[in-house]
This record gives sequence, structure tokens and C-alpha cells, in this order.
Amino acid sequence: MRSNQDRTAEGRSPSRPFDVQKIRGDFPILKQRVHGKPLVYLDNAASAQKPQVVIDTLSRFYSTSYANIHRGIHWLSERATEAYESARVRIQRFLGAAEASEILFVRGATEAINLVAHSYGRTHVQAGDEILISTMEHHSNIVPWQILCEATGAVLRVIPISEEGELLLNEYEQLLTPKTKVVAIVHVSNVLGTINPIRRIVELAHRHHVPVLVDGAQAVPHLAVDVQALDCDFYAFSGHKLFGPTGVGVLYGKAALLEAMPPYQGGGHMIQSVTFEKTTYNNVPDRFEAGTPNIAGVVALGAAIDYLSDIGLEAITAYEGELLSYAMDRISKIAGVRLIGTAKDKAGVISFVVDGVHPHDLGTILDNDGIAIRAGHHCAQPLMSRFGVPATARASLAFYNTQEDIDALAAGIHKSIEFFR
Amino acid sequence: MTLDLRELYREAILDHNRHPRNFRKLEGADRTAEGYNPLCGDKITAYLRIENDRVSDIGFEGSGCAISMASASMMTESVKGKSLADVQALFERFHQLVTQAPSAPPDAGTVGKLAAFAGVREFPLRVKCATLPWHTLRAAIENRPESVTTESGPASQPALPPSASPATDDLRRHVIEALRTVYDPEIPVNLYDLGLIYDIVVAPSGAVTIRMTFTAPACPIADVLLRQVDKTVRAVPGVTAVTVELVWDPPWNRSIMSEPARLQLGLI
Repeated sequence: MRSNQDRTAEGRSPSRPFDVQKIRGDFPILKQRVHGKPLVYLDNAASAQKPQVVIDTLSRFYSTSYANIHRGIHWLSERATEAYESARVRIQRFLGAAEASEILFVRGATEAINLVAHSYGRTHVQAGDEILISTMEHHSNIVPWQILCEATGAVLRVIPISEEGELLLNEYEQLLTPKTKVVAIVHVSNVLGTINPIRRIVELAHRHHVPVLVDGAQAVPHLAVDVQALDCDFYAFSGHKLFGPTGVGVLYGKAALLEAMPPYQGGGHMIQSVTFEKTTYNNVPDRFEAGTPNIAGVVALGAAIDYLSDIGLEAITAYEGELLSYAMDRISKIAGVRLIGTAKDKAGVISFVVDGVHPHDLGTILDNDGIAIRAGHHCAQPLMSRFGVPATARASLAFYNTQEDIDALAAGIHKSIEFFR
Repeated sequence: MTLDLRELYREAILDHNRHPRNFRKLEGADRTAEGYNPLCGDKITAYLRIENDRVSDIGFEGSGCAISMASASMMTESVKGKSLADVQALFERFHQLVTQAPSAPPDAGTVGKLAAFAGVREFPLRVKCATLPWHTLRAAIENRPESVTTESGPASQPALPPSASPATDDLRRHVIEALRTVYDPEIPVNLYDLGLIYDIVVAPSGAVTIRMTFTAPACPIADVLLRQVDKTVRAVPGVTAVTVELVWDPPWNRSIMSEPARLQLGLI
């Protein structure tokens, strides 16, 4: 796995030997047995497991520091506010953002994209304008833009991909026109594992003064991301795929864009003053965080990020790269297996179909051996039709997976082929 | 515990998956319907020719997992030539076979070769695969144009009770009233107040699922009572389907009885 982004990561990743067994010890769920077999968890692209420190942070925060934030003048509220805002600063550093106020807390990547489609979209997109997405988008980066198009009369245009699952950059350049108002593109595909050349995509869009939203849900667990180096305008990710709790996510937006955007939801905390005649909205980021947020979730996401930073994203990328090569090699050698997504630049996702074995039957056989994979369309139906398959099986890696996990998967695939022969 | 995969994928299922029967577009079909489970991607089109209220010919096309393909294939074999009433009855018996609780004794005697699907009930996530072809067949018989799915509603989520609404609450009350008319001949208290009915789930469609037990596993008239419960609830207006699941966990004991029942039996 290589990333072709220019990035500066100095001071962020202490280099130390990568000890996968020690890391596995940090994740209590991995000790579990399923149907009497040791759990082999290869469904990380759907959601990642949680290290003990994240679980403990949730429990400790509720036990010692919990109150509503930004409201009370009492000690606990101050303490909770501090924990919440310090998570914002840690995420700012994690993404390399210029300001902490450029980090908005939302429910997940889906809400982040909806926020931009709604708030930025409805003020900047008109009938006849075009929104550019790609064939490999997750439904969460398709449907919000379709809703926007329906409301405004704009048109959705789709960048095609190659047989290997790589974006066709020439076609992309052709699609960028004065009509283009937003480019929304996935950083790492949840089905193909393709790492898109975001730096290049942004550069081309900016020549036309078009802002770029990047769906980073599958990227942040695998690669170090620097939003300033990428120069993207919005970056969205979910906490639960980054070893944090469910129900919390992040939208990064460039300050100048966020400040010009109207609120997405109305309510408490997002206002400066309210009368029935006129409400003055609060500043960024508060304007976009109406109501009581997922306070404990944000704090625990901060703990997950500390945990990852301690191991070092570079070390994680390097380890997963080797594991992915090993897995691609093992799986592709099985007769009757077709890999879907063979991009040169690829993160830890292996999608495949097996002759004569439907993905769901494969899923059932593997589950019986304690191996968790995903079978289905992975919320990317347009991509499934691009490759002419109704569904695929998908094994997705995290840094706690091992070669033994891959060996178990390969054995399970062999067993399924035997079974249905 | 490792579930026995051979229970789910019995030889007949593997065979029908490898070589699906009646896998063709039926020329001269007068009914067709489509079934589609979008989450799985399983897709099936059923073609029927109906003459004199009888399925004179049937074919299907589609793609999906081994369970759905084998279910479609075996379904075509077992309904060909049957009257529509017989097909409906078979639909219900098949449905019961694949959805009843694993602890209930398998009642496979009346479904013929379809008994191969008895193992599906051990794999709740796969029930929807087995039932998709049958729901598609029913839509074709009823000439319903919209695509059918088994991914929403009780068939796909047997573990989750459908959310209650005023309409289902009302129906549930009527079901309870009806159950209060059913008696074990040896006990002068009805089954409901005796505490034998553990759970009543009413789906918005009017399908009722009842989980119940008996005072002792060796209850000599269990069969008779189960049939009576089924018949009584089926007769309640608004009920469209009934599934009775017999469970032994938790075991029944006297404290489960309602207070009036304990009074009546002189236990208080």
C-alpha cells in the first residue's frame, strides 16, 4: 500500500517496532470465540473494533467528568467542555487542519456529506449546474447529491473507472466544465480499496474554482491524511471506522467556506441571540453543532486518535501494505476466484467472487468457522453493475489482522469451493 | 457450538442449486412476478400458466445464493399440476417449516421433498432466501404487479418484533380474547391465564406469531392444543397468517399463572 499524496508527517509518528500481538491484546473482542472457533474479524470496512482505551474512556468520562457542554458555569460542565474541545484540537492535528474551528462534529461521514450538500449545495448550486462524483462512490456520497439535484434541477455526472478499478483521470478532466459546482469523491473505495489521487483531483478542480469534498471514511483508518497538503475543501469521516464509538463523525471544512455557509440544523447552541423576529447565528463551528452533541463519543474518538497516533499511521500503513500483498497473493491463487479491484494504489480491502459459490453462501460457510466477512453490494450498487456482479464477498483489514487470519480465510474459501462443487 | 452446515445445505439443495429445474422463461405464461432482495441482490422472476385454477406449467429465472435458487427450483417441481388451493396450503406449510423456532419439533411430513429446507430455521439470516421464491409465486398467482421482497417484515427479521401500532395493539387484544377460549381439557383455566402463552407478535400485515409452552414436555394432547390455538387465532378477523412456536425455555411453573387463575385453582 502506497499513498501518492505529498504529505508532511514529521513529529506525528514515533517510529517503533510494530508488534501485532501486543496490539491484538488491546482489543478485548478479538479474544472471543465464535461458533467455538477463534474470531477472525475481516469486516473492518463495515466497522472497526474498539481498543480497551476507547471503552475505558467512555466509562471514565461518564463516571467522572460528564455534564452538558458550553452551558453551565459549574465545574463539571467546564470539565466536560474542556474534554470535548480538546478532542477537537486533537482531530485538527490528526488531519493537519489549520484551525480547530474547521473541525465540525457530526454523527458520521453520512451526516457530514449531507451537511455540505444541504448547506453549501443549496446556496451555490442552481438548475443546469453539475455535481461530479465517481462510479466507485458509497451510496452516502451519491444520494445526498441526488437529493440536491432534485431540489435544484442540477445534474449529477459520474467519472468512470477502469477495469482495475482506477479513476479515469482523462475522463475526469473532460467532465470538469464551467457548469461543475462541486466535486465529491471517495478517498479510498470501500469495495475496491482503490486509493484515489486526491491531490491531483483537487488541483484539477481548483483550476475551475470548483470545491472538492472528500469522503475519507475508509482512508483515515489506513493512511495518514493531511487536509492542507491535499488542499481539499471538505473532508468527511466516521468515528466508528476509526476504532472510536458509533454515532460520531467529523467534517473538516476550510474556514472561508464554512463561514459563508448557512446553518444545516436549527436549535440550541448554534445561535447568538434568539427573538421571534430574528435569530443571530453563532460562529463556526458552533453554528453547525445544534443541540447537545455526542459528547462522550467525541471524547472517546479523541482517545482512539491518541491510540492510533501512538502506534503511528506510517507504521500502520506499512504493516497493512505487507498484509494486503500477502492476502491478494493468497486469494488470487485460488482457482475460480476473481478479484474485483486491482488498482496499483490500494488500501486493505479485498473484494472477490468465487465461481459456483454465491457470496452469501460463502459468508455462511466462513461464519461457521468464526470468520467475519461482508457479502453483498456494500452500499455501492452502481459499482456492482459496473463490474457485472450482483454482489461480492469482501474481506477488509485492520492493523490488528495477521497472516494467520488470511490463512484462515483462504482455507475457508477452499472449503466452500469443495462444498458446492 | 458449530452449526451443522450439512443441515442447512442438504444434498438436495446442493443438487438443485447446481442444476436448477424449470429454469427457463415460460412461453405462453399468463402470470409473471418478480422478487428482489436488494440487500442480498437475490433476484427471481416466476412465470406461471394457470388453467382451471391449477398451475399447469411454471418456470423461473434469476440469480442468487444456493438457498434461494434451490428453493425456487424445488418449488417449481412441487407446485406444478397442483390446484391453487393446494399451492396456498403448501406455501403456508413451507413457511412454517422454515420459520418455526429451532426447539419446536420439525413438522416436515406434509411438505414432501421440501423438507430439505428444515435446516434453514437454524440460520435466521437465511430464511428470507428460502421464502423469496414462494412470495414471488404468490404475487404471480395474485397478479400483483409490484416487485416482492422478503427483506422487510417478520420473515427477514424473525428476532425483532414489528413495532406496535394502535391497529396491531387492537388486533393483539382480540387475539388474547380468542386465546382465553382455549382450554386444556384437564385444567379449568384457559391457556392464556394459565401463562402458557409467552409472546404474541402482531405484524402490521396481520400475521400473528405466538410463542407458547405446555405445563410439561410430555403433554399428551400437545398436538391437539397447538392445532386448536392455530385454528382459533386464525378465525380472528384481521389475522392473515398464524405461526405457533412451541418453546420449552423458560419452563412453565405455577408462578407464571395470572392471579385469577391461581385463585380459581385454589392456589392462593
